[in-house]
Amino acid sequence: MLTDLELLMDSEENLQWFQENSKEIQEQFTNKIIAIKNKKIVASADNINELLRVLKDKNIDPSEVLIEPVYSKKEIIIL
Amino acid sequence: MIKINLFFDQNLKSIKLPAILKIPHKRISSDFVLDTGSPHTILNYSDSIRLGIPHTAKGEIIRIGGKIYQSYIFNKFEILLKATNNQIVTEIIPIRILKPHNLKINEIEELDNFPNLLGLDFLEKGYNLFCDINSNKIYFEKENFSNIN
Repeated sequence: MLTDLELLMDSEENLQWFQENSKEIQEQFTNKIIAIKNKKIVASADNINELLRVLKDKNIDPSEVLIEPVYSKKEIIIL
Repeated sequence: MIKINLFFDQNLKSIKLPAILKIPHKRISSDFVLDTGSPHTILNYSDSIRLGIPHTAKGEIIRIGGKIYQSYIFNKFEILLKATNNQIVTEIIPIRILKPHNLKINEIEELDNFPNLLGLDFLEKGYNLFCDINSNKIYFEKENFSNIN
């Protein structure tokens, strides 16, 4: 099990990787939710419950992945 | 003095902060979008499911972009952040989880895509925000920091 610092470092690396590759990821995974671990997409699904099922099937701990929604190019998020 | 870096997403045009979200006996890796327009910190539906947080303590009605949500407050919530010197910064903050009034499937799926929002209540814990998007230098600073693990 990772320490809190190791998990935070992983989160930071995975987030930066997601941001650097977001255009390519958007092309392939539009409107999906993806799970990222070790700078790789390890699972994708249409909703969170399905994604958690996929992670369980792959024996991947859902607490140690970064989960990100992938928005369509045509969408802008205004909060 | 501690310093915590945030990251500007050029594609999505949002400022994000990696974090560990922790409740008693459980933690997950996640991130926040910085939202200085939000008075409160909001936990998205997906991460509330991952953490197993009960949606029982009703909070305010929250209106976002023309839609109305019921919020649920959870108080025993910790946000762990990494400072630039690799110290772990822990903040205890009540969070709100959003659910639509009518639990239609498509509305729940929309909530799956809603980001976690780091609101003004976090900044009120003594953080100064420095933001220079053009040179991608964005960080929080906090003086008199004593909560170091």
